[in-house]
Amino acid sequence: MAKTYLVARREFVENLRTKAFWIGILAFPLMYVLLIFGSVWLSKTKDIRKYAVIDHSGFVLAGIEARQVLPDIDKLYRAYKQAKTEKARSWFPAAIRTGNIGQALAEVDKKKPEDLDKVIDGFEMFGRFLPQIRANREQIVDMIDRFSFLLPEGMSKDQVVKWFDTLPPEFDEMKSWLAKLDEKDRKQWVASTAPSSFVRVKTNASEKELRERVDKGDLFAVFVIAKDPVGVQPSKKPKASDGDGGTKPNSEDVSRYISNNYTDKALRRWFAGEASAVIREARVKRLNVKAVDAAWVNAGLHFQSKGVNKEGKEVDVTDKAQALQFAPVVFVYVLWLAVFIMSQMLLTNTIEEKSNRIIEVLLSSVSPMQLMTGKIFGLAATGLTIVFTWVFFFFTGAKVMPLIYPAVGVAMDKMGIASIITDPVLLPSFLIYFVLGYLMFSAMFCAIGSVCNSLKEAQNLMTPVTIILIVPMLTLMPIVHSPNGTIARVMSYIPIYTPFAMLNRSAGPPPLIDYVLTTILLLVTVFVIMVGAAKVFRVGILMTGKPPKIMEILRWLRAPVTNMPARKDMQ
Amino acid sequence: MHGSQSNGLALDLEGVTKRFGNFTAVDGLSMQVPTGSIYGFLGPNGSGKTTTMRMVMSIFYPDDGRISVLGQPRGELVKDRLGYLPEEKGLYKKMKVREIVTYFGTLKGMNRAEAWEKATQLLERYGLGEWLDKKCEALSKGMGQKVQLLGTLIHDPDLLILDEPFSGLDPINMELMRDTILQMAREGRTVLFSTHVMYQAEEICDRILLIHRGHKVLDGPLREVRSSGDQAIKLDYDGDGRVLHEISGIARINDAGKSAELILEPDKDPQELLRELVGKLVIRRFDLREPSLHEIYVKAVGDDAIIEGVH
Repeated sequence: MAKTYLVARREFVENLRTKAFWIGILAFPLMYVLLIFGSVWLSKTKDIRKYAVIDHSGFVLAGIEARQVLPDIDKLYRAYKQAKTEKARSWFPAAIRTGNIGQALAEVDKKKPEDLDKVIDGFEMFGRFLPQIRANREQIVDMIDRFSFLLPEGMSKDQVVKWFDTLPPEFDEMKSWLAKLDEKDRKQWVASTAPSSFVRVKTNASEKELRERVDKGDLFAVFVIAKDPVGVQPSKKPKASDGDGGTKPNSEDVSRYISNNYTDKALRRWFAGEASAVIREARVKRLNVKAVDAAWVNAGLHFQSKGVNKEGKEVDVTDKAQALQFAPVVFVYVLWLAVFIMSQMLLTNTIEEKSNRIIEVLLSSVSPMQLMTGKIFGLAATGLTIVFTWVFFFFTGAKVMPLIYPAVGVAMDKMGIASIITDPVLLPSFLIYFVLGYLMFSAMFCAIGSVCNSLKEAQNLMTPVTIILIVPMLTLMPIVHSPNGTIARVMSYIPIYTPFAMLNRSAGPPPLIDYVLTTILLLVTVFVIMVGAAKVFRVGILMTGKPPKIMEILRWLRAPVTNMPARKDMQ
Repeated sequence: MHGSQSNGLALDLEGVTKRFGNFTAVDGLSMQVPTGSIYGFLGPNGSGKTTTMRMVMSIFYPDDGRISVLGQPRGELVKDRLGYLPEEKGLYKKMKVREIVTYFGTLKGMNRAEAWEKATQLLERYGLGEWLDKKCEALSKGMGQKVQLLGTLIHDPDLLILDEPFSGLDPINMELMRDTILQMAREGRTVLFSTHVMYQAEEICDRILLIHRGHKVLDGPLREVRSSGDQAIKLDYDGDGRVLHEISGIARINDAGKSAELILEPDKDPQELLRELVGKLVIRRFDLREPSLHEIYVKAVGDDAIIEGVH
């Protein structure tokens, strides 16, 4: 044991001195920072792409422009609150963001008072419609009346109406805050902005000229808005048979998007959405329907997401629960990567030790088993140091980043990072499966390394192992979708896949019996593989010449330790 | 040093056999190495020396026979009292010189502080004081060999096993290696070393063992082995060595071009030989003595040895 420790210690100390170690330590935090700030930076440095609009209707473009100067009170309010209290607000139901009261109320679980707070927050968000709200109080009261059956318990219609009458004092503060922002900063709080990097050019040029500019690459796209995009109601439309169905429609009658880029659809999607909103408003006006009725007609049927708990009761599907179901994907991927990379390191390291001939000196002091386990543990210590550093960064990052950069806090909240960190199963099982999986694969790779004289030879032997190792990656998504399905269970009971499959299933969660049986199976396998690898290692490490055939390695495995077979070239 | 070996043998092999598949590398070898002796283990390349040494070090296990190391039935039990310098040796390139010597010391059971102290002392004594904290990759080949040797000695082993310790050494390091071996023996430690270069063994060995194709050819104290009865002449000369073959009464000639060893037939008079040579060659030295180990070896194994290229 003492010698195993000495070998492990040397391995560890030497690893700490390598560049690869520090790169490994820093890779994760760097990625963390890059992901967060990099995307912001990238979006700033994007090329500016120009587009033009020909508006035959005469009002659609103006409507879109108007929408682009309205402040997005939703965003603004959130940013404002964070900036003021430095506390990330909870993630609002999507319906509230879009301003649909009916859905917003439907999202609320009547028995949960904290959800009531959410609704109130949601109404605050309603500031987007503030001009209309203030102008047309009756409409609002009517709307609240209509949806009163959806009001949370303990919240009367009068309360809601009263709330609208006395808008939160923050709102006025907020307006002055916005006014103090400069043009560039203000832009990000506007309700609707074109996807970043797209800029509209104002032009009176003809469509033909603009098409040429698109062809030359000067313009990214041209929108042509038809003369009458609002159109005629279908019921009032003349029948095709008695009209001029045969003639080609005039270019002014059809709205078009002209571009030679077929892949980036962001601009088209945004513009179409904005134009549709403008046209919808126009249609509502033409039909002389109340805006509230129109919104009511437009509202879809919303299904609430519910889960079932152990007592058979319905429970809310929180963002946390969703994050937890997908978290295993990330964890399995990191596990796989860590195990694979570290086993590879061990392989390289073993071949190096063998090729620089230090091995025999070592074997005069330690047994092959001590040497092998020492190397494996030494590298495991290195790997765990890296992994723990990552976890540490992850924790402190999750705590400190929101304080420095509130938007990050919101993003992390959305990803449910806090709930992933505190989940009682995920992190511990990750660490346990990391250790066991690593022991298993590193022993295999150590054995492979011991019979090879060069990395090139090792690559040939590695091919089958790599193919075997790819499988958990292929079953990653199927197992997430069906954590207790056939594939998941079969994979869990194949010991070399147990660490990946069981971690993959952790959202399930798998029945206790699966945990117990697979763990026993895994422990036995780890032991058997370690012993087998030690036997191969003992013979292989002193061998020169061509690598052995698989059959030869199997023969070594069968022989007792005290009578190791060997080859002629080893004498 | 330690008097624990009841029979005074540092190493005792009896009928040791090691097979690799169909190939028998060592065949029924018996060897007795007395405590405190310098023991030469001689034989051509591929004769089973390294395999035997690896069995002593418990790197291999014999298929047959018995090995007793420092009085223990298994080498593993006394690994910390053995020092082994394999023929193929290396260092961790990225490790510092003092650290690697210390590491070898700790692997032999020394505590770190003690090993560190001893490594510093040894490296300074062997002229590597300036290299203590340099990485091994910066060492020249000769310095690397010194460091490897020190790694083998740091724990003051009772039995030192050196596999081809002189191969690849420059004259200065060869001298150093010889002095080290003698020093070890003077301290009462036992040194077993293998070589295929016979004259190296002649210079310092108390006892030798000749091995050929896994079989022991002969063993015993160097003096006894050499006084086998034959007469030999060591001749240094200028001229055409072919004339030596025209002279009668010479059993064998080991001609190296400028010097030769002539093995006389029992009834040949050396004085007569000298008279016959005068005029044919310019004689620089004419030395009557016991046959060399090389000659003994060639005689013992016959023409096989020549075919296999014994020097």
